[in-house]
Amino acid sequence: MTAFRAMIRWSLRHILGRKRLVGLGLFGLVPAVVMAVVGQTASDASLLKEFHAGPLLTVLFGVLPITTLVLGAAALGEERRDGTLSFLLLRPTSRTSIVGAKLASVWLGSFLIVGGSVGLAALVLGVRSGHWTPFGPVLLAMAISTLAYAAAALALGYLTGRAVLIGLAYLVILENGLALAIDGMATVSLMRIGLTAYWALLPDRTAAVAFSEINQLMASLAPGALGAAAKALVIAGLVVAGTAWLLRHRDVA
Amino acid sequence: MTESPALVEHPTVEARAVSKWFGQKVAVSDLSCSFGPGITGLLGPNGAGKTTLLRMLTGLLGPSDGEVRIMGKDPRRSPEVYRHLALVPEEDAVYGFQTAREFVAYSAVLAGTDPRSAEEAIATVRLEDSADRPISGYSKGMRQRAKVAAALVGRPDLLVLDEPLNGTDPVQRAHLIDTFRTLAREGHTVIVSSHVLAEVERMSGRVLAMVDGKLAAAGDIAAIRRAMSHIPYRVRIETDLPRRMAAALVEIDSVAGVELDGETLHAETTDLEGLGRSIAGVAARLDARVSRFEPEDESLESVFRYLVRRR
Amino acid sequence: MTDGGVVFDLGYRPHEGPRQGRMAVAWAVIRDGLRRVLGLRRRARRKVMPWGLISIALLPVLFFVAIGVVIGELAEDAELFGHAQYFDLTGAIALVFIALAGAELLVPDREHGTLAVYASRPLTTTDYLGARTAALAILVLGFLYIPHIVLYLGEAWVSSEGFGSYLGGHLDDLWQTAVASLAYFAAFAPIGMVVASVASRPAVAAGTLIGVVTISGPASAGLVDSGIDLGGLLALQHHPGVVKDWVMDANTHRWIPERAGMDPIVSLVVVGLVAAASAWFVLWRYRRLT
Repeated sequence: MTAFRAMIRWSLRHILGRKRLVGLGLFGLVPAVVMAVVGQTASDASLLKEFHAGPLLTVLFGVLPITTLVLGAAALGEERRDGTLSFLLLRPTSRTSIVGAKLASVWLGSFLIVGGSVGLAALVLGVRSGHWTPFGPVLLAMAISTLAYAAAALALGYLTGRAVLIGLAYLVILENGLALAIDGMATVSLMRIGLTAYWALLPDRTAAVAFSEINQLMASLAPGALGAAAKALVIAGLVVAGTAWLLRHRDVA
Repeated sequence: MTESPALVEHPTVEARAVSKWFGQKVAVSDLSCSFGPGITGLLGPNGAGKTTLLRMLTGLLGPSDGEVRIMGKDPRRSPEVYRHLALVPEEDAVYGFQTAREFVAYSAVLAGTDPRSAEEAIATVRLEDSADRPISGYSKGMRQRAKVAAALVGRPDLLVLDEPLNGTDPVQRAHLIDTFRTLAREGHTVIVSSHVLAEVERMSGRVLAMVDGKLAAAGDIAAIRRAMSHIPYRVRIETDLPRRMAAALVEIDSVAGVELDGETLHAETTDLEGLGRSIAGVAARLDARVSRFEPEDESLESVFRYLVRRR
Repeated sequence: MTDGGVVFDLGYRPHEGPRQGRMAVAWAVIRDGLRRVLGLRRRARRKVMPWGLISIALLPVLFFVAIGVVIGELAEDAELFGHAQYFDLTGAIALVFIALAGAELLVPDREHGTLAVYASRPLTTTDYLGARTAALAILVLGFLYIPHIVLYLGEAWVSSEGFGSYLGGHLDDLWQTAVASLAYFAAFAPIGMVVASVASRPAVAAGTLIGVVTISGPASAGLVDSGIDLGGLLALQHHPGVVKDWVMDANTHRWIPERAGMDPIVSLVVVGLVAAASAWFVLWRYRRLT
């Protein structure tokens, strides 16, 4: 096993210990449970709307940011505070590959929860109503948003012990507040990066239904899958380069 | 030949006028030393700067001034240096959820060596019986051994150990000391920082002593003591005529003082060798029998106490 | 001059003065809690988060009032700066503040093993938790209520009724905003204490509290909109808003419990029950620990 794969493997094990896996897993089940309960009473036609008004928003404003923040802040931040970061730094492995492996593990671990959460809800939607068109696009959209959030959380977790709180303040004040109130602020929303991809990938009829429920989230943003992926990759690249530079130049206490 | 006992010929690790400060606090001040094959003990009271120096030598901390070189390279710029270096830190830098076998194998993979070499490292520290239990359930001594195994698995040329004997029982301690000595005999460079002076004395002939961030002494223990010529040697003399012997010793110029304790005399002298030559003549003149003549403060502990007391 | 000398014993002496009672001990724990959360007597870095949040809650109303005082009147079309509306801003930020404060008050004592030090002092478990809760209450109620005091005084200052007349004639604003602040505290703080009493790290506690409260909104909205009115009970983030609008006779938002057809008293009961259950759980948990 190469060093890079070994770091991903053990990082995943570190950030997704049993307690966190169970806690976040249960958390991630909520959208699917809501979808299943709603599916008992709502008509097939309205289920598509309900999916976007309820479970999808639950994932976007709850499961996605919380999961990526908790896991991302732990990946480097907890290692630094527990003293195990020196174990990695004292190996003949480049700092870039250390940070890259950490980001990969946070992304994979977060997507397991977030993708599982939204995928399960979309699965229920498909089974109940026959609407399968959101399934693929929503998974891809969540993969993109998860990457952006994971990168931000990883860097924040390394820099400060209050990464989760700062991220939650960002969620409540910016994602949930300013970005809804002020058009221009939507461009700095990490969550909306994936939404623009989702919008672009949905067939037109489905998109019309979906975005009648969530169009206030999009503000002046335009749909675009490639643009969204590029944005997320740029954020990830900048974080990896910047954090690796910090690892090279910052003292490890 | 180097100009100072703090420096060695053909060093593996060099610190050249390194200083480190954290805000207003100066942890290490203008320190130059080097380390080569063999075991070197790094001593000092709490807060002397030993751990700071070790972390600078291993690249975890950057010097505020001066430079550190491992095999001629700056460890903070050249991660490949870590193929030849291993640190056993004082703190618990282990993943509690891993077993010792997994931890050591992970270290092997990261070092670029075969993970199967983990078995040899685990056997070296005698952790085979517990190697498949999570480290979170280990005692302090077992964690230490797991860390040592993870360090040894990469077959490093340079092994830096910060308080490696903490928490180990006497049997484990003796075995670890043997392991370090074997590595030193094979030509590896081993730096050991420890408070357990008796063990350091057993392990290494060469020591570096730090006090208040500065190098207070360096070299062979006996040579360091000899260099402290302003501090009289304390000698224990057992004789059947202690009072008459005491009276005779006081007349010798190099004897600064004599203390009587039953049949034992404690003499202080600035010329240990001279007193050693004179004692036979004095005993013959008094027709006294001398059953013991032994310097009491050539031990590392005494040297260390003098160095610390100086500040 | 007297002859002779004296040698003073500089060794350890036990305390021989008066021993203070339970209240003094509890007050010491409260003071420690306030310092911890606000980062007082700690490095500057520890002050950034709490004082940053306090600034976000307080500065808008301070600027609004300051401008109004200078020009002689408060802008009437500034909707955010009505008493009822301002809670929509501070209520959301209070959630983050409670996540920070709850975690700081309870987690470090367990994380660093200092709970045993408290347990070995003349301090019962109830006293310890009571003091921590009191510290949290002082901080959160201050966080929520002080902006309204500022707004109230600003309104009085520029009022055509005169400062004193306004103060005396609008006392309703004072007690209503105090009750509303208490409603937000009672809705969020007990859940924050529950989470902080089990989480192993402050970050996990904060994330769990905000996650649980935030996710309850869209989840219950989905249930209510599909006809399951009982889903309105799960809207943890909305119940204090319902109580606030009820007390202040306002209508700032279409709250999910209202959409589910529930009376405001239902929200009050939910808040009370959740607070009581949380208090019982935290007490049970700490009695087991100590």
